[in-house]
Amino acid sequence: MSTTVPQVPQKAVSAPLPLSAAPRGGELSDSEINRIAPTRGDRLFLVLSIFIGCVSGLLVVCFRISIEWLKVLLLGSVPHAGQYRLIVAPMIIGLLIGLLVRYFFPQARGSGINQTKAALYIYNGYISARTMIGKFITSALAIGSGQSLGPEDPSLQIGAGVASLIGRKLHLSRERLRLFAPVGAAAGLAAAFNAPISAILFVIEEVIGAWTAAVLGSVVLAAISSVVVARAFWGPQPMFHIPPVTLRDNRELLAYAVLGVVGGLAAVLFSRLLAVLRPWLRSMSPWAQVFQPAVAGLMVGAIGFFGFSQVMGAGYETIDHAMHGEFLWHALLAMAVLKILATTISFSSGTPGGMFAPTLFIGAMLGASVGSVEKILFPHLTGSVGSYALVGMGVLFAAFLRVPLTSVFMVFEVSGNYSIVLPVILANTIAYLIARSLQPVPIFEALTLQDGLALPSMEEVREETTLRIEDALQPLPGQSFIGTDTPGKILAAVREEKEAFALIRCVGNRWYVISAADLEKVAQTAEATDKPIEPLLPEDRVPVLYPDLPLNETLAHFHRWPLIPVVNRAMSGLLEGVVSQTDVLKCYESHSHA
Amino acid sequence: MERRRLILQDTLALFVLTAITILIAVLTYFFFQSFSQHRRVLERRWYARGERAMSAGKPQFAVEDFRSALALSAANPQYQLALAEALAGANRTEEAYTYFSALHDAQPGDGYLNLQLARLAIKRKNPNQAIAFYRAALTGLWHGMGAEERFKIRLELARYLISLNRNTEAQGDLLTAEGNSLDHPLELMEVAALLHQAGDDTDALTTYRRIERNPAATPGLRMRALREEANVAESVGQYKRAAQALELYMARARAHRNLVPDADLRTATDQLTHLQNLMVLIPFYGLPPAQHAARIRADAQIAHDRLAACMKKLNPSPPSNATATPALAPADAASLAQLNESWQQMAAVKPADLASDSTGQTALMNWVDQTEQLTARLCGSPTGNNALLLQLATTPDKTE
Repeated sequence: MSTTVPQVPQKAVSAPLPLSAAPRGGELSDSEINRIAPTRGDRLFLVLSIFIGCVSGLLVVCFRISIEWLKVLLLGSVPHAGQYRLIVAPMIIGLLIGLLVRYFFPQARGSGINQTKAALYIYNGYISARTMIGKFITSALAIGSGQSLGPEDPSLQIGAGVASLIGRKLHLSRERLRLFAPVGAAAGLAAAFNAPISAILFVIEEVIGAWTAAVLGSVVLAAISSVVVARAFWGPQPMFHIPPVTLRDNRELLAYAVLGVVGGLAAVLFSRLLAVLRPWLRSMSPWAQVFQPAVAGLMVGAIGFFGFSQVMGAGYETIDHAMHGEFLWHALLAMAVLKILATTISFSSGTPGGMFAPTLFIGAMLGASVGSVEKILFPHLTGSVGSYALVGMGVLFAAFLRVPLTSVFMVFEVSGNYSIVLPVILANTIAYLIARSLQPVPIFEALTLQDGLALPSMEEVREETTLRIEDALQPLPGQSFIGTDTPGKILAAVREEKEAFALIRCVGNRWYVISAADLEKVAQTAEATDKPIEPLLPEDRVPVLYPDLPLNETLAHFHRWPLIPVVNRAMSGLLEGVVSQTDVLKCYESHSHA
Repeated sequence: MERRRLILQDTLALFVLTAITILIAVLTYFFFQSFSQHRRVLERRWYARGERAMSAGKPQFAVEDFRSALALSAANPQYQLALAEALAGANRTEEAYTYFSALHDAQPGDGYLNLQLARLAIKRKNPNQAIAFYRAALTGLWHGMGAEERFKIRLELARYLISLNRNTEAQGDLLTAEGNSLDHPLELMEVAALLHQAGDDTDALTTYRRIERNPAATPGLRMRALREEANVAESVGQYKRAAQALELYMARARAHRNLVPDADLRTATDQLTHLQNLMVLIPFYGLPPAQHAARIRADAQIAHDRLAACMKKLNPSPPSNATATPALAPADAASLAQLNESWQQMAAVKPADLASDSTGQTALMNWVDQTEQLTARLCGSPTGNNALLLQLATTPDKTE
């Protein structure tokens, strides 16, 4: 079975990544550069982020225009049902895509998100120029010919590819090259979406999985640069022309809750269809796979030919029309169902293209449908169909792509309206919870598992509970001492209580932990019997650790300090308790069992 | 030395990167321009096709054209409105309604959108919503010609209210429209007609009179106002006023022969004669008491004779046996007998006493009315003076 994610490229693995390796002819080595310009890497990283943003933005604009041109050339300026080209064009172009993917760009299959994650986690940030070019060409052909896919995910991969290429050409270190993948991804997605905040959040939620200060600045710079470039061409207006949204009657929240339920169930249906069809198609012979995009094109084209041409392509215009209440509720519902089918077919066939736009489409149609029904049943309520379509987009985003935070901000950004916050959060949360409980494995994770890869689950990473020192904290074993106490006094107390260690508070409220054996030795020195113990102790002190710090902070210190006192943040020197290596290991063990 | 080499190396790299970025930007610009231009051409072509279809009275074809134009330029309000209008024109009421609603959500204060929604709400048989949209259209924003548009909408609303038999509301709107008409005679004519339809005859008559006295009105219009005034006045029993208006109308008609067709003049002459005959029978309150009583007696005599003739027709036997008439329904027979009995009592009243007995006068005229109405029902339509008395009997408001 071939996989969507590229096999480990020999070049990436065998070729040593430049600055960490030996100096090339006339070039400086990593260590030399670090010696003469220690901050060069950080500065260059930030400057290059801007370049990555600009180039990604420009390429994404070209990519979008290519799609539009191809659409006009292949399907006509405005496709209408009953035109034979709706069937012929996707089928022939599907065949061409099948051949291109098989013989020229095998790594261009799929949406691009998992490939970018694979580049980050497996291939040290390596995305070949060939993959990037292949993604550009095949995705543009696929979406332009009417396959039910979107341009955002490929844009994300194109951005990551640009970042990887620039990083390699400038001989950045392996570590920086790896960090560049999400930077480029954010730039590509931001330009495609015209929404920098959503792009940044998506990359953090779905690609990186955690907030990392090291990369956040660059991600933000790249995303903003790419959006500035994209807006220079498309204009500053948001992606969709959304009528004003207001929530005047709180009873409408019930309708939004219904939308959350409907969206959650639709997301589960969509995920399950993909989970069934994609592995089945991919289990077929390589030759059969060449024809799959053509068959998918034929089927999607047939849907368009027989009355629902809106389902073809990314479908932004249809989303816009739905937001302006142009369709009746049953037409909207039919389009949502057909889009789920068409996208499942197109995506499962291995046709390059993304799932963002179809997700938005399905969400908008479902939302507008619920809104239209609400208007029929309760005409006195004031919510517009557009507001339901908008919330619907966020709902599917949260439930299907499993990016709850991005889904909320995406709605804000594409609408430019923050007054819809309540319905968005309510509906998204309901949909997210339903999808999670009915489909525990998120779609991107399911796809990587189908491809035989073990990329980290971002949902798990996001929700991972961090163990803290307080979780392993133990009460003080006995009494503690101060530095002015004599060794004899401390030894007597330790012997009496049969303690293995004694905790001594020294100058500056720093602590020293001494074992009973060491204490014996100190006490045996003749001059120590009636002198304070502190001057007799070595100079180092136990590191200051607080209960709220991550538990792993303790691990580095056990080789020196078998017992570590944990102090209070408010009252310097006040002991909260102690932790030992055994306590920490027990804590990890019980957590993993839980 | 090494440091300088490193700076040089990085500067060169950034310079090359900048040059590549600029090159890609230039290529993207030309690519984008060519596409945008092509798109503009396409959207204009679709819109022009839609407009041609609308002009040819084929909104069903225009819908697809405008939709296509809008697909290429989604934010264009001109295309949005055109599509909504085409949908309404193609009788795709629900789609048009949702589309206008969406536009309305964006511009809730727009008068035109509210007006269109009101008309669509009528088609959707939702009168309360329609009236609410009409009201919103009245207070809404109209770009230029606002006063004229609002006046027209108010009349449209009034017509709709009249069709719903919500005459009181209609009257309020019509009086406001009258106040806002700025004495424009043509508009006032429409208001007056609607006031009459809404049952506000007093204001209708006043309005017609305003038109007649308006120097800005054309002679033809002033004559039309007089004619309508006469008709309304007659219909509400203001015969004197009707006659005066007709007399004035005829005087004007003689002065402007070219404005009035002969047939109209003949009709007006007949109507005036009819009114004059009618007025001879009416016991006007302003008449001297003796003359007033004499007219009542004369009317009573005509009615009594009519009753006698009718009873004879129904039953050849003497009137005293009328109660036994087998052909009549029991209720009619009872009414007839009661009326006959009343007339017999009346015969005992002396003419001299009647002149000073207002109660008797009223009772007598009531019997006249009842007699004419009952005999018309039982013995067929009357002629001559009886027909005139019947008209008086059925006049809703006997102010004169």
